[in-house]
Order: sequence, then C-alpha cells, then structure tokens
Amino acid sequence: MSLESRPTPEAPDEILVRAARAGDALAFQALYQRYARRLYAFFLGYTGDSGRAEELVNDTFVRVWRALPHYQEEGHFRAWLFRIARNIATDAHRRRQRRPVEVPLDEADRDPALAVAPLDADPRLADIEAVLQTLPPDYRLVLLLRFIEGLSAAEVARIMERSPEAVRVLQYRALRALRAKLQSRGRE
Amino acid sequence: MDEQFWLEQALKAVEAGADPAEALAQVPPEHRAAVREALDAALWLRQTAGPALHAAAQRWTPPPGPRPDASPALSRRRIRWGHWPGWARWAWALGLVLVILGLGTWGTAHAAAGAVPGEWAYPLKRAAEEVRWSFARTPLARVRLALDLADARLHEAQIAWQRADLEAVNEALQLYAAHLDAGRRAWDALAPDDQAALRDEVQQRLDAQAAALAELPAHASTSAALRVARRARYHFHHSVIEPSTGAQPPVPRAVASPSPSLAPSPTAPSHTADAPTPTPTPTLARAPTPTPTPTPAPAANDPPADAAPTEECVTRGLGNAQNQCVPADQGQGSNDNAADSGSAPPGSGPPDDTGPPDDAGPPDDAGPPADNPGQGRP
Repeated sequence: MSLESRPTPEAPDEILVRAARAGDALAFQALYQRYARRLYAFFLGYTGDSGRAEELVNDTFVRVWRALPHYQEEGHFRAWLFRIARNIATDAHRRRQRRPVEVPLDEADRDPALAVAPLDADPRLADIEAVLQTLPPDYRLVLLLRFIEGLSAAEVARIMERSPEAVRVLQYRALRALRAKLQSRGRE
Repeated sequence: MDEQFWLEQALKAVEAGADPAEALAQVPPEHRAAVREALDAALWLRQTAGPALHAAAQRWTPPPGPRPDASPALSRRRIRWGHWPGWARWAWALGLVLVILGLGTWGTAHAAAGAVPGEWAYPLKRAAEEVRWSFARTPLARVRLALDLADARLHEAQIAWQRADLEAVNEALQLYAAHLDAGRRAWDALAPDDQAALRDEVQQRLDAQAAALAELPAHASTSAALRVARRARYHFHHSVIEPSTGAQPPVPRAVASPSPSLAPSPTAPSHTADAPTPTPTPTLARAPTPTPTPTPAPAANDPPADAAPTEECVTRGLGNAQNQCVPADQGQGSNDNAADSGSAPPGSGPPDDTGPPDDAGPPDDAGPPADNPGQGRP
C-alpha cells in the first residue's frame, strides 16, 4: 500500500477496516487504539478482573485480525467488534465455569495474598463489581452494552443476535434484577 | 403498552436530556412504579457504573496491541470454524474422532499381535480373534480360521517356552486344542465336496502343527496340556482322513500279530506324510471303545483316546523322522512321566496293546522312535 493511500488514524472505521483487510498493520493499530479502552471497560464490567479484561481485549483483537477477510458488515464495524467481544466473554465465562478456582474461604480470609483483589483501587468499582457479578451473564451483557457502552437497542440486538424486542425484554428484566440487587445492598 | 415500551420511552427522554421525573411523568400510572425501578437502575449504570468503568479504562495503558505476523489474507489458509456450516463441523469432528479411534485401535492391535498369554495385551488379541470367529459364518471359513488360530497358539507356546513361562505354554496349548476342536466340528459340517477340496491343505497344516508340537519339549507342568493338544490335533487329523467314520477316532483293538511292515520302526525313515485316504489294514479291528487287553493297564491319568494315535500310526504307516510312531510308554513322555514308561514291561503284549500313549501324545507327534517293548517287536 502506498503512503498516499494509507488512511490516517483518525479515519472512519470502515476506511481503517478496508486498509487493515489489505494488510495495513498501522490501520489495524489505529482501530486497536480506538477501541481497546472501550473493550477494556466492557470486559472489566463483565469479568470484574482487570488482568482478565486485558487478556480478553487482546484475544478480541487477535480474533478480529483473523476474521477481517470475512468482514461483510459495512457500516457496522462497532457492532461486529462487540459481537466478537461478546463471544469471547461468553467463552471465557464458560471456561471459568468448567474450571472454577477453589479457594477455601477461611484460608482466603487469613491470607491477604489469597484474598480476591477488587476491580481497582476505586471503591466505587468494588461496589459495581459486587453488584454486576451477581447478575446472570446475559443480563450483564445487555446492561454493559446498552448503558455502559451506550449502544442503541438495535445495535445491542445485532451484537447479541436477538430481535430488538427480545433485547428490550431482556434489558427490562436485567434492570429490575439490578435494581433489586442495589436495594438489597442498600439495606445491608 | 407494557413496561418495556414505557421504559424505552423514558430512556429515550432521558437520553434526549429530559429530567428523570419528567420522563416518568409520561408513563401511565399503572406502569410507573415498575418503570421507575428500572429507570433508577439504568441511571445508576449511566451515572455511577459507566463513568467508573471508563475511568478505570482510561487509567489502563493498553499494551502495544496484537502484532499480526501475517496479513489477514494469509489466515484464510487456516481452518475457520466460524464460517463452517454446522454439519461440516460435525462431519469434521466425527472424522477426527474416527481417525483417532482407528489409530488407537490399530496401535493396540499392533501391540497385541505379538502378545502371549499372561501379557496385558493378550485379552485384546483374543477378543479380536473372537470377533474374527464370529464373522466367519461358513464351515469352510471356520476351518481355515481355526487352523490359523491354532498356528498362532502354537507360535505363542513356542515363544512362552523360550521365556520359560510354563503357565503361558499351558494356556496356549489348551487354547490350541480348543481351536482344533472347533475346527473339527466345522470340518464335520462341511459338504463332502468341500471336504475333498480342502483335505490336502488341512492335512498339510496339521502335519506342520504336528512337527511344531514335537519341537515343544515336554515338562512335568506342561505335559498334560501337551497331551491335550496332541490329542486334539490327532482327532482333527483323523476326521480329515476318515471323513466317513465320524467324530471319534477309532481305538485299536488287540491283535495277535501286527503286520511287521506297518509297525513303526525306528529304522524306517522312508515313511512320509499321512496318506490322504488310508487303507484299513486287515490286522486291525476298529472299535469305538478300547477293548480290555492282557497288557498292563495304562496309567490312570491317561485318557483312552490317547491310544488312538497308535492305530493311526499303524493304519497310515507313519514312521518318518518327524512323525514317528512311538508307543505309549516311550518317547518324550518318558521325560515327565516315568511311571508311564515303566508301566509296560518289555515284551509284555502285542503292539497295539500298549494302551493310551503317554505324554508323548499321538505317535505321529512324538519324538524320535525308540525301542518299543509294548509293541512286541524284536
């Protein structure tokens, strides 16, 4: 690719995607820089683990690179990216369920090194983690995509491969469940 | 209109900049309480969780990012599961499983092929043989398979003997006898034409097995199994050469003067293999059961059927280097059963009054000929 035709890092998603598909690593880096933090926030909310979130961001972009030759969703790169991220988050959740880490509670209480670290030093994050992690994975996904990432219901429907009506129902139930969790925590 | 719809309307109003209370005012009173709860949660996410998570993301320094080592086009060569239809994935997985199973089975069978009794792979080998046997439906196939399996057992017995594993020798020989019994039953079920076509082949193979049996040294702990094996071989052989007489080989009766020309002789190496259609000699009177003879009784543990080889030897005129006609009290059996050897005093009876052969088995399987006092030869 010649220098004249190489897109700038500020170019729209679709131009960068086209260049990346042609093998332009810089265009791909620009996409990475644009979406890495958003994906990190998404995975942080989903997993409650900053290290895991970083791994999943990396996994997502590796898969995006491999899938770029098959990208056919002109104009919906963000939805496509988050669909891959959602698949990776779901896979990671399944793997984690198959191989749960068992730490005896009393041992974890005694040994500070074994205690589960909070999301971040920010005390708000600890609260958020405590609430979000108690929700079912689907609820977490729809809430994070809709209210943390600010995607439209139509985009969330595209990402979750459901109808917009199904997403609205899911979103309503997730919000009610979240509200119940928040209330119960408030009473504690 | 339900709560989901009104929640969506309230969310749109809030996104457009309206106050949450104003947004809720548009909701019908019967849905307002439920929508308020959901809206509260949504606002908590927007105003508390979202900023906190994004702030954490801003504090996070992304690593340099994945460095693709090849262009996306090159990755087309890889297996792209996501683009395979469901049936193709299943077919691929099934094929892979079949290949793995096939390789595993082949490897195990390969490992089991050289196994001898007592080894871990031997039951697998036997199981595979059982399967082969169950697939051999016709008597013709079963006769051939029984001979194949008998060959294999003899080979195992030889290996086990070289390893001094007498238990394995015994097991192999007992299985050998069982194979030959099964083969004999299959032979009896064959049509006469098939028997005629197969007779030479079976005889040759049984002769070869006789030679192999003769090479197995007798031992006190293997003599019984060796005798059983030789008897089974003899019975099968008799069925082959005497198709009309039925299952049990005849047992010789006492005769006053056996024909010297048919009597086994250590100096008669010119005798060759079994005759395909033996001619009964006039000196022999066949009877299904042994007739009491004036000679000393055979050893108690020697079955009467063991006497038959003597008659076979006589009727077929055997006496070559490998298929020697050895009387009951002589041959290899003398190594492991001295009592049998001494049970017939020299010159005490006619040649076919020797009773059942000892552990040396049928005469055509036995070791080198020796002076046979029981035969009454000079």
